[in-house]
Amino acid sequence: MRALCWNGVNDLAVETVPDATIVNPHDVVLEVGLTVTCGSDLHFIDGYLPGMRQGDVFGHEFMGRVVEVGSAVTRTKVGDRVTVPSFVSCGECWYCSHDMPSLCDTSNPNAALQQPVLGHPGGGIYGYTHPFGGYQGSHAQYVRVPFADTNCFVVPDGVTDVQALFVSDALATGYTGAVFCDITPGDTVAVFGAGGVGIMAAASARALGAARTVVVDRFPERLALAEAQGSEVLDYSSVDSVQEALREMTGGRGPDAVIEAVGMEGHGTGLQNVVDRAKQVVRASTDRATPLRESLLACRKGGVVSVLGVYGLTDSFPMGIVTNKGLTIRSAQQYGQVHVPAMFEHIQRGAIDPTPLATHTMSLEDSVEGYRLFKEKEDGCIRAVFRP
Amino acid sequence: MPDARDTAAGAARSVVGAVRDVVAKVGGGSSPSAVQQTLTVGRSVEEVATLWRDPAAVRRVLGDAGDVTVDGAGDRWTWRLATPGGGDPVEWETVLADGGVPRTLRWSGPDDVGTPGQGAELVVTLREAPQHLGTEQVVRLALPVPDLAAGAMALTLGYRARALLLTGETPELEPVPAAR
Repeated sequence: MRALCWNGVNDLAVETVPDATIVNPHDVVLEVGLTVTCGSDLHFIDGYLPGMRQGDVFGHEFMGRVVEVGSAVTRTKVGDRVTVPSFVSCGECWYCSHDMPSLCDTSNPNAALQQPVLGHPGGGIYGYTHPFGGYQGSHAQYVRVPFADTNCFVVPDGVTDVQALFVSDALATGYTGAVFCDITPGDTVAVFGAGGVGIMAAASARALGAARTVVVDRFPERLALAEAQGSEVLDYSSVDSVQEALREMTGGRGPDAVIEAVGMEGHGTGLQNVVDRAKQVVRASTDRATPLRESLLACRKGGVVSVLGVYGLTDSFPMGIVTNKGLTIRSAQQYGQVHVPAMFEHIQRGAIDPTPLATHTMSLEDSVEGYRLFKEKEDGCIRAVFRP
Repeated sequence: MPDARDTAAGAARSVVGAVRDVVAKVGGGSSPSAVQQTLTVGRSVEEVATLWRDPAAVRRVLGDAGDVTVDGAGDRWTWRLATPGGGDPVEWETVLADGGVPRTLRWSGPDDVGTPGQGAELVVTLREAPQHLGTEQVVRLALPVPDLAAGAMALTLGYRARALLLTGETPELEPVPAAR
């Protein structure tokens, strides 16, 4: 089959690789209908996140049609149009049965690679480094899905393929982050980062009852999309202080919750960001955590900071802000399996629509160019969608 | 007030000690060193023990990491474990002892100096986990490989045993791993 492979830092190629097949009895194989770029992919494409190997098929956000089922699969059927959360959940362990599917205790074939870094290994993920499982990714004509009855969700009528695609990860991650904010009616939620996840986090926060969402970024086309979806926006590069701007927008109190949706390659305008960039260039640190620190500063006292950005080992974390402001920090990789039914309902009643994220759609054969557009944010690219 | 030279000497000793510890962890040697990994398994002690006594199940737990054969009586197990970096496999004959409180399954190798696998040992200790979460499974492994490699092996064995008990499968990548 054809697939997009990582061959080294900033070295991608579409190649012919072995077909995805059934390996375990609970597996299915999907014919990938749509698969999409994700900002977290850029971290290993740029070489900041270790754990990839030459030839890895990557990609973790996808939907498609079931073409083969394993002997122990009971509910998922050949022909089903399904979306699949990007983390693999077994549905049986303590974490999966307590609504924390990305923390699955059994689905990571390379758990021993992850334990020294995390202390306790998390679940596996499609096409996202070997410590995260080493599974073949979705930027391919076919993809294997383990524990299909837990991870395949039949797309209901009225939900398009593109909408179902983003239920797999961008919306699932944003929705998970919004749930973490414990939103009560009337709340104001600020979101740092107007990428796919940030825009979906803002949409989810409103769907869950937030009166106002404020999205912070610097790219006009992304801020325009956030605004079109119902958020107020703040271009941090055009103000002297994003902190003061947020205080002014919230009567001096600050947002009730802040969602950080940027991650380890963050930008900013202050001295700390210069230091972060220098440390990252010489590999003295994995992360540029400016948006994370800004989020902690911006949140009102006693509020919630929900961290969705992918980080490595941030070494300059202002814990004093957390303690002295009484902040609650919530974070996780997405809990999609828990929220897929609710996300479908929000889409069906028009409360959330991820469709505008798909600014570019192209063949898998053109996916190298798609990643270039996405990485360089050229031509207004928010997400590049591939049709294998 | 401490003498500056004493302080410097103390710091140097501390650094040397730390380096020695790290070398022991990554460098290894020819004599076995023991590591252990503890995991909670959401099954009863009896169920977990039954898995570890079943050679077919243990082969599935080992996967690509090795193989085990068992004699007719079921208490003499011969292990063959792959070593990191493609080195020579570790092979040793053991006798299984099962019992005690907490429930302990111990596969011990020969004590004779110079015998292959001398001093190598696999010990699985099982006790009821706190908060009725099932079983606390402690896998202790002594192999003539570096501590880090033995630690990874112990974690892998315990993790795959838990997966097999909870889901009926072990997490596998072959024949379609991510990489070529």
